[in-house]
Amino acid sequence: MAIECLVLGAGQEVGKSCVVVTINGKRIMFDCGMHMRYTDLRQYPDFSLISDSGDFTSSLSCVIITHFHLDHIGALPYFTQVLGYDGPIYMTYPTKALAPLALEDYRKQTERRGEKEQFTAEHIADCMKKVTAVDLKQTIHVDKDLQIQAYYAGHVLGAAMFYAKVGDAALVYTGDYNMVPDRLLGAAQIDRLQLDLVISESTYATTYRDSKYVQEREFLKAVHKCVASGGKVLIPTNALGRAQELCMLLDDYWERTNLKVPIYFSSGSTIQANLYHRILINWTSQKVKDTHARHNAFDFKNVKSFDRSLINAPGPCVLFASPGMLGGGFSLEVLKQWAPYEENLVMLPGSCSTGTVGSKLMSAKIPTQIKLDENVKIDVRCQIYKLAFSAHTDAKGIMDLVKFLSPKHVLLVHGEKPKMAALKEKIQSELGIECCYPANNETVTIPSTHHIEAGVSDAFLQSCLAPNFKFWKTNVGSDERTPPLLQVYDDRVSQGILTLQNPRVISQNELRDVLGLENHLVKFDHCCSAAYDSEISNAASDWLPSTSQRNSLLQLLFGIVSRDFPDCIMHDCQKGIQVGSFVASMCSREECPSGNADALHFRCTWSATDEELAWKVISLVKNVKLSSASLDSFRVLMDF
Amino acid sequence: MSALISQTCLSEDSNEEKRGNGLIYAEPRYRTVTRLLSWNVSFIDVVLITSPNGMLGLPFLTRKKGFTAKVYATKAASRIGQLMMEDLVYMHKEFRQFYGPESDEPIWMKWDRLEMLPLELKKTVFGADGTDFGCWMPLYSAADVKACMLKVKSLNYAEEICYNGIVIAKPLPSGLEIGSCNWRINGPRGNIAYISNFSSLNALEQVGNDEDRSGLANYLSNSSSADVNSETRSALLSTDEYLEEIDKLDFICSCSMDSIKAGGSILIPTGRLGIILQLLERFELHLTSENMKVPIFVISSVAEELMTFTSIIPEWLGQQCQDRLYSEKPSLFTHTEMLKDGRLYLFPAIHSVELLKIWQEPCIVFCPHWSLRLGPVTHLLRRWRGDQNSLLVIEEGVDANLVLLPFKPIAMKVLQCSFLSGMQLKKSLLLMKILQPKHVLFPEIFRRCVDTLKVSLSSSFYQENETLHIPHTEDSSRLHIDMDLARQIKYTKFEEQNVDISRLKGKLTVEHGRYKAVR
Repeated sequence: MAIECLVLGAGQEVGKSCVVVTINGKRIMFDCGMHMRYTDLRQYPDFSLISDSGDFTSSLSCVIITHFHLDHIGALPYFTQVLGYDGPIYMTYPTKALAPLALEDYRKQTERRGEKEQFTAEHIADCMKKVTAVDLKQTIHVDKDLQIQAYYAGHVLGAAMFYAKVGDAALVYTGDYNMVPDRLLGAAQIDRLQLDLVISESTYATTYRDSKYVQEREFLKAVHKCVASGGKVLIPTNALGRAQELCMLLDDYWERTNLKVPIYFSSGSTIQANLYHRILINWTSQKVKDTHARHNAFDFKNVKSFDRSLINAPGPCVLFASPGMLGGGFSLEVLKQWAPYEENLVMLPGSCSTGTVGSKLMSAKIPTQIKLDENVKIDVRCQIYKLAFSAHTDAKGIMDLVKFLSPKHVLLVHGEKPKMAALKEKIQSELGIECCYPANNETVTIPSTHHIEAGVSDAFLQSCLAPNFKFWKTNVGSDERTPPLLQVYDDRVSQGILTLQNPRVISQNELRDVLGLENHLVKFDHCCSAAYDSEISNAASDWLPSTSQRNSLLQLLFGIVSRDFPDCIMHDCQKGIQVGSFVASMCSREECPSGNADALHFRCTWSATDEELAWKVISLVKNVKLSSASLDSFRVLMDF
Repeated sequence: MSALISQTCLSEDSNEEKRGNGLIYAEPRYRTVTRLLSWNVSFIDVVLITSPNGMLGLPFLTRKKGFTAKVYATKAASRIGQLMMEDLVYMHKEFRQFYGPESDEPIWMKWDRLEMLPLELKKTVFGADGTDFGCWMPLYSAADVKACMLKVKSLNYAEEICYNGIVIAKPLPSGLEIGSCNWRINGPRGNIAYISNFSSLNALEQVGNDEDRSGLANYLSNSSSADVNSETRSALLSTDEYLEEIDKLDFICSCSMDSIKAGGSILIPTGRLGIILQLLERFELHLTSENMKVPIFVISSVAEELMTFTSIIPEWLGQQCQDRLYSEKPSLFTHTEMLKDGRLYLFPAIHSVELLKIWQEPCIVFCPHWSLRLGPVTHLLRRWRGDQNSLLVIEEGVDANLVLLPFKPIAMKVLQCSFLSGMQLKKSLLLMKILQPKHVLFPEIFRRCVDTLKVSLSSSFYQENETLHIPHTEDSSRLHIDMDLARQIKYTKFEEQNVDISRLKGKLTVEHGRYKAVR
């Protein structure tokens, strides 16, 4: 059995994230994104690869959306309303609340540009009605076999990594995530799971980033400098996520420094998004959560309501306007007005797709002129500041997560090909985990974990789980005054018997009952000669030694053996000494199995399990010369 | 393996002793599980909490020496429970400020005084079998509550916890209160569902849905095909109960409207957050439709915290509230709006300066405590008891005669109302039909009903201070043998017995409720 991954989007690129995973007969679509570079059908994943018939509802078990960014959810209304997928869709509560705003924002932009729209406002609303909202860590049984669970991913409000399990095969799809907490959101958090596969984003596959706090400080410094000298700050952002994060920074800074410069939001949807953020404050960072009772961080104190007349009002201000890449709309309109003045400042987002005004500004040297179309040019003399913020994890974060989860395989998506290749090498060489990064529309097959199931007896579990301590004394060095070290061994038996019929694992002791057999014991018998010196030869050569002589010889033996085998015991009636099942006693000629007729012999018996031990003791006895000196010392002891 | 501590608190005190009505004049004392004092608490491994109310006695347990058990509650239940405990501690502090501190052994607990108690009170003080007297404890301290909360691990709905590798517990929404839950406990030798309530329809609280129920069913019974007819299922899902509840709330509202019109005020002493929230929604509707402007006050040391908390927990609420989150104007409860435009006020105490400034009558007041012995209710009741136009709403289940005794004579109208506080037996039997458990434990008080209904269920009955032993439902545990290990298996045939056996040697691990053998 195997896990099959069909990468429909974000394979060796960033955009239209979509991976279809088949796992033990269940088919899950992770994300259903849109590519922002295209405006025709190329912006969607090639859904026809999922099903020739176009019956997506029966060919997918469920669709899982990780967060509300359009490159992860943009194709969903098209997929459900136009292509007719009608199965379950899962996303977190914040994603369900915020996704319609993001989608509607996009739809309005295309409408403004006069392009043909792929889905309507009604499509969005109907699509969202089919969504099941989930909470973090909640175990959701999609059907009898498929279980999914969301984990906190940082990145944006409501972003989640998803765990999916069918039988023993399990995987995690990370979506976009951030491994360090920032002001708005916490760091990604996941349990240590048994995984066959991790599908991870790799936006910053080779980048190592500094702490975000440095970047935040620089951003605030730039804004402060501009407004202090009477300039206007334009922050082009989309309605969601980034706007709230930056505004939270500013609002907090305004409070601390007692600034009174007004902050405006141009778009109504941003203001609505603020309301959602206030209700969903439990999904933010620990610090924001802890302080919400006193002051909800999204209850911005310095934000004033905005109208168009304020664009050219005198005095400094900060304005958030969409869209983020200045591709048209209100932010561009404001740019035209503000760009010619040196005291003003434009905050550009981290990345702008090519062809937009944003990207032109990014590479421009100030002062310059920017052509909007044949007739319109803007004089740009204002300052330009590039926001370096990113809510994606860097290479260290990816490595940390992969190491933490230690899956059997890693699949990289959502990154640039050469960087992914470098990261793959790193994962394979440093972590020893198989890794791949398929291109769009490629399928990768990965082996998955399986097991067979059997009943198990309590006795077997007991023998495996109950500690079975053995104590061992060892002498340290030659100095006899230091007490011997006590060593403890946990000698558990993890051995049992598996029966094929009515599969069941039992302990060895139970086997007899199962088979209905009698117990047979294998016992070894050996007669071992011992060397002795002349002084005790009398006792040894006398073949009918008195009981006291026997005892003293056994004592002698005991003394020698117990030095190396601390759990050696003397039998009660002093007939012999015992280590485990090994027993040594004086050999009497009549009973001797080997028929030895001369010298001193000990008769040794042991059972099969202690064979190794027995030969150790025997070789010890053989190599030692019994001497009366040691006998004397025992006599002394015995006299007491 | 697990113990569930739910507090039964009973307080009787009054400063009316001199009037000879037999009441005790003292700071209220509390009683929790009778055997708590004699238990060796170190033998408890896990404590599972089902609702905010169900954890009010928890500090008595967690502060005991040797308590090391893991305590699990839903996030919402533990937060609300904590606030309720803090409020209770605050009210006691206030009580002591008014009447002075009390010695370790209050006068009423001396033997000669106890002899003089009326019979009815004696029964309460000593318990039915006369052994309860030693169980009356003074309330825990704020520090106890704090220490207790540090020991509570809080979970989301349907979040699994794994105890000791092999026992898995999971709280599923029960629909009674915000954060209340039923517990599903899976073990290697059988599975347990602890059902405190099952309400399938509720406007505010998240309800148990079909999936949760089947989740419960599978594990409770382990019967692969639970053959449930649709009739049973729809009966369980019937809206009757919910509509009845709304009718009750509307009845309270319309009575209140009448009182207000006559110039009286409304006093609702309750600690149940769910009731307060639902009533606020209904009052808003009624007041708007009658075009009346009457201020609503919620007076409690934790009112502010409770209301802030309820405005940020969409994950814990029912469909109706969740839909409001996804609407154009996201807001979970009407009270957020009411607070903004000055129709609702929250105050920590009745003597708040701000409250005195804006106080006006008639008004509607929600405040603790339902026993009418503690908190703001005592003062307001004194103020309004002589006003025949005012209305007092109390819950059923308390002895109205007894709780009102110190305030007599009363001219004020009293409305006693039972709110949904659990599952009816009829419904629980329907639920059993769906779950098909191998064995059911009912509370002792249901014995008669269950017997007369001739339910074909293997069942037994539990009562306080009694341990029941239930046999394992599974014959043996299951072992998962990893494929890598399984491939090494070579069977030897025993012809005579017709048995194939193989030696199995590997490492046994216990993970997330499963025994696994790996190479």
